[in-house]
Amino acid sequence: MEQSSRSPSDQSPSVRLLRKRGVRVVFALLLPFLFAGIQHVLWPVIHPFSWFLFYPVVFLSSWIGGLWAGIAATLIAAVLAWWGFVPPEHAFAKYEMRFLVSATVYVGTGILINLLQNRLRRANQDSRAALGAACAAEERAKDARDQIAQLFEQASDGIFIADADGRYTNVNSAGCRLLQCTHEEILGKSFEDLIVPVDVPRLAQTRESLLRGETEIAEWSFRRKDGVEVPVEVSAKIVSDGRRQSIVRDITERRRAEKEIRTLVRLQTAIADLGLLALRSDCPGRAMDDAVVLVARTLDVEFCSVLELQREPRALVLRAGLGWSTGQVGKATVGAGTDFLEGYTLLHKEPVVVADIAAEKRFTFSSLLRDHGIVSSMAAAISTQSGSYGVLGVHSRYHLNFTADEAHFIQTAANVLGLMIGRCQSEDALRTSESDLNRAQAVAHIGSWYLDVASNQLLWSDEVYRIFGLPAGAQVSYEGFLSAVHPEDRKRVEQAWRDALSGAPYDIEHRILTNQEVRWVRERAEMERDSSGRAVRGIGTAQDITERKHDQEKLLRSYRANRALSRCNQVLVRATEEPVLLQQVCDIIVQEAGYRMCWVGRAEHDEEKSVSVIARSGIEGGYLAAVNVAWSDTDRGRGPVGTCIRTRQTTTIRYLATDPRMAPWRSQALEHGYASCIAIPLEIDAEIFGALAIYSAEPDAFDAGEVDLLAELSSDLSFGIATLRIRAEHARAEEEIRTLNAELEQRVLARTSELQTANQLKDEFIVREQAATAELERARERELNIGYRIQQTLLLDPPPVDVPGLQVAALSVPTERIDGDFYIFIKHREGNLDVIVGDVMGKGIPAALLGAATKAYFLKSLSYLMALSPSGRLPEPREIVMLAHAQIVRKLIDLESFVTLCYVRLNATERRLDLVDCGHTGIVHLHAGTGRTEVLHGDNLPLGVREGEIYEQRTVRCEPGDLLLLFSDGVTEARNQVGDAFGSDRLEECVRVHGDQDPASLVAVIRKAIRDFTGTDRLRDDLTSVAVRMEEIEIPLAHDEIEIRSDLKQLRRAREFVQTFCAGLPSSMLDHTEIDALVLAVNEAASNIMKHAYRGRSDQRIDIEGQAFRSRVVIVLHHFGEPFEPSSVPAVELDGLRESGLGLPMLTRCVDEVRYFRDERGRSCVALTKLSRNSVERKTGSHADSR
Amino acid sequence: MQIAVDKKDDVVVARIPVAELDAANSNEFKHDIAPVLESGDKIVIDLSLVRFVDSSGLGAMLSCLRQMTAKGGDLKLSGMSKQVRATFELVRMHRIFDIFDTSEEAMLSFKERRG
Repeated sequence: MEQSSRSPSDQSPSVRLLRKRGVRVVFALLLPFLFAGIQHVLWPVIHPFSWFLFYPVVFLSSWIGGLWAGIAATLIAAVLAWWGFVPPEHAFAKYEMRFLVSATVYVGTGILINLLQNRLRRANQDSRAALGAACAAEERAKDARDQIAQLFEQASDGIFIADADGRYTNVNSAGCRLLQCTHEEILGKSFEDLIVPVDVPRLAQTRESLLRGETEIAEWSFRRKDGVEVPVEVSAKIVSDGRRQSIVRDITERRRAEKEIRTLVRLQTAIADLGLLALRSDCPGRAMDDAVVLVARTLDVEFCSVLELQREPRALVLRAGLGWSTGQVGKATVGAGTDFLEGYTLLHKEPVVVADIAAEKRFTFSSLLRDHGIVSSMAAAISTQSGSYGVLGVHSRYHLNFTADEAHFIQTAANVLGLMIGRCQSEDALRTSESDLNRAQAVAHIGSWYLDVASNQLLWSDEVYRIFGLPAGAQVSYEGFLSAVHPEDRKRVEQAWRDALSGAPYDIEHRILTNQEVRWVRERAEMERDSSGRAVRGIGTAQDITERKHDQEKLLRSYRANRALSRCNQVLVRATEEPVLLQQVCDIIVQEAGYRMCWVGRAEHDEEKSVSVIARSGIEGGYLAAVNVAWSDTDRGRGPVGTCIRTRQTTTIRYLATDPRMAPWRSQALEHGYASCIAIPLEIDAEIFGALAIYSAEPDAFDAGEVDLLAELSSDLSFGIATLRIRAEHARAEEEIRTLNAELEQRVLARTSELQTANQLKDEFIVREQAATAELERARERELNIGYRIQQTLLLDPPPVDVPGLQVAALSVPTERIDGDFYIFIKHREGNLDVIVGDVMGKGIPAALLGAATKAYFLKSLSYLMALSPSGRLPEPREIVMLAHAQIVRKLIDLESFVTLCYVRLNATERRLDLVDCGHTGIVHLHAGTGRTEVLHGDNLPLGVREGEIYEQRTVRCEPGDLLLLFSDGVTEARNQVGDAFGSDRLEECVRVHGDQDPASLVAVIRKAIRDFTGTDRLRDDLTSVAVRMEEIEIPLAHDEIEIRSDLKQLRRAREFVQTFCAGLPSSMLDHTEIDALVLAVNEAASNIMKHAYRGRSDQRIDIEGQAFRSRVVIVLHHFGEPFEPSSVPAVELDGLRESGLGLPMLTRCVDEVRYFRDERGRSCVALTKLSRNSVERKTGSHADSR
Repeated sequence: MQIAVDKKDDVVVARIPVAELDAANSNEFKHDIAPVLESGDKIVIDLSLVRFVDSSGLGAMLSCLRQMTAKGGDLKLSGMSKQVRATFELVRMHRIFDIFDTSEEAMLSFKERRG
């Protein structure tokens, strides 16, 4: 029936009564009687219209009672009218035609009215239903709009919607945040209004490609309301209705990392330019002016100053500068006391940095700086050979935080200026003294000479004799002079003299050889001519310019070395392959730094300890092939490269012609034009890798500054190689994960199709249903196996066994449904061990894969940060977590998952742990001293909850003997039959009671405790626990290692190594019998590796390492062959019937402990431990050494 | 290796000419001692020059003993250094071999048995 949108409470009781259908029908049927009554009363007035009041009855009954009640009422009314009013009244009249007609008309009309009303009612109902449907549709559309609006609002990237004219009509809150504007401030603006002006010209091109219907992704800079520029990545598209939609992402962080690298390159380039400036300029004033501009521009500051120290009165004068008000440069002075920045800087070797003068306590600013409104400054002292010159400073009116690189830069710039000023000072001295010839002869080393052409008579002043290293007054001639000239310059000098005789000016610089020493001389001469124009005599000067030349060369070399360093760093940043990198670096050293030859030698661990050439550049002409360098302590190994590798020290040969170390190669080296050389060690991960050798055509070419630069270059190179290796290792790991993933996917696909087949079979052959079920069961089991394999291969690292001062054990009991529990161990240098324990929300293969992905992102972030770190500093756990999170958070949010995780860095030397807890379970820390436990927590969110989350790190002190337990919530959430959880208290109790056991036993005890508590082996969640014991670091008394090939003939070398190593130990440690036993054990272990692990291949390597501690001697054999599993070999009856299989029993009987493990480089290892005698005596009967 | 052989009466004394008998040369030893083992029923292997024996060397010795026992002969060892003896004792092989201080004593032991 009809429905009304109005609520019933709006209506009066009577109307409500009418709403009930039955009531209405009765009412409709009563109406004819009511009206018959009324008509009866009014009959005298109405007479003779019998049907008068019955027509309205028809209408009203139909309206109130509906079609059928209306018709019934009509018929009742007809009967009543017929009986009551059609004459004769109160009786049924006779059948007269006129009565029949009127009655028929009445009934007919009544039925028609009823039908009409009914149709009206239907139409009314239909339209109401249509209206209702329209309302519902509207409602749904509104919901959808709300959802879209919500998505739009909550997106983490800014979303900007513009109309076809490019005016913004909508923007989400992320967009407002990005621009720090309100919604209203953005509406009506266009993209052009948001970006910085320099980006505007690029717009036209973007518009074109947008109009072609392409999605345009590009980087722009937005200007925020507060003027800050924000780099963003914009993905724009014109959607189907012509509106423009842009998604804007803030890429400030990405830019910052790029900028750091760029800044470094820029600073180094600037130093190279500065060197060039210093070198080219003769006039210190102008060079200084250029230098301050260069320095100010490089550091992007408004002010730069060079202040010179004046002795009387002691003050600093502004010699050159940029940004100062007119008239200050050359005049302004600053007090030289240490209460001012400048004076303070003079006393310090390091650059002085002031971020904000208001917060500065060490000194104040001079009036010069105060008057210019300076807020931030950085200054470095300029020193010359003759002492302090002054101060180089940069200043800004804005608050600036100068970085360490920038501080290093200003110090280097000051050093270059110092060199330049020093050079100019000596030339100045020269110029003033030239005016007085007598003094010049003595002071400036200028001598004069006289040559009579006709008689070939040559006269020298005393100074010339001194320059040429001859006793004053000795007989000289032009030929004698010529023979003293350097052979390479002789032709040129002769030619110049001949040209001078025929009229050219004579002004040359050349070298002379005096007493095995090369000196530079400048010669100038005037010719006297006779009447015919023929030259009869020459009068000239000879000036010793050796010092100046040396200074120039020094500057040139410094500039070249700097440029080489800068180029090398650029190459390092881009390098992808080790051999290419080394070759490029060699090329740069020869081409940029101008050395004659350069090569990189790798130290080979073969019998001869040879050095192989892995990169070379320059004029070499077969020299390297001929010289056959080694690094053993023999004649061939005592050259620069051999010594350098052996001692790990930079080795310089200043004069190759005379140095005894070069004896085996001298003649070849001189033939190739080498005069001096330097070899710098290349160390990777504290291991010597080889050496970088550079040969110069000049003797004594490497001064201290240059050696420092080259050392820096080689350390950068070492770092580069290490980085490449990490990258390669990482790529390999990633490849492995990809392969496993692909394999898994394949298997899952195959399994899915198998399942389908099984299902079909089941439908088709009901009799085989049981068989099919069994097959399904097996398939499920196999799927579980896949999960288990993922967990074992990808999620769980074996705990490291050889971290100094840390004992680590881990245990993970997987459930039937795989959990995403994982742990990672990363061993760093200097005893740092990173342990990551994580738990992915959810179960099954997706959780396992997500765990693997999380793990990969952590490794990727770590290696990226390490590659980026210029000094090789280990990135902080917090940085690693933040970077990994930034990469994975979107994916986790999209997958509606999250990861709880605990990142711990342990260091036994520093006795500390750094912890980043991302919503994980915390760590139980057992204090050995007090026997108490506490749970260490952080308060960070899990990964994947919020983008841009800041993760906090905390540091906790530890003492030797302390124990740390990392665990997953499967431990504390394990429940018994009653439903109680195992809980943190029980776990802590367990650690307190059993914490004195070794970590491996402790994790086993915890496992057992949980089994006892739950009364079952079937767990709901994965059970993961990692226990780490911090120990006193034991420093080896002795350490040595060798590498042998997997050739049985090399067994003797292994034995000799052990003999020699033990012979070098205090005699109280092991006696002869014990040493023999250890030798035999090593022999057996090595022979096993050769025969079994390497399957008889004789070209593989085995590294043998000997370590002696106070209580024991440990020999470790490392190899890359198959790991040995002791339990796989059956025990041998020593009955003399078998000829083989004796090795293993021998091995175990010869030493006190045999351990098999895998080290952090993936090598299989066998560690053989022999306890020293006094330690055995002391410990007789008690448990052996804990290791 | 050149194994020096000295035959007195019916006893063959073979002197091993190397200081170290290890996995590198034990096969060579087995090959070179074979004709000596063929040449008689009473063999003495003189180890006085040997300073080191490893499991492979020991295995080679066991192989010699088995060959001799198989053909009804006898093998004795002599001249072991302290270190080599320790190696034999380590795996209880001193109970399986007849070991004498000198080759003379070993030869005498053959005669005594005959007497």
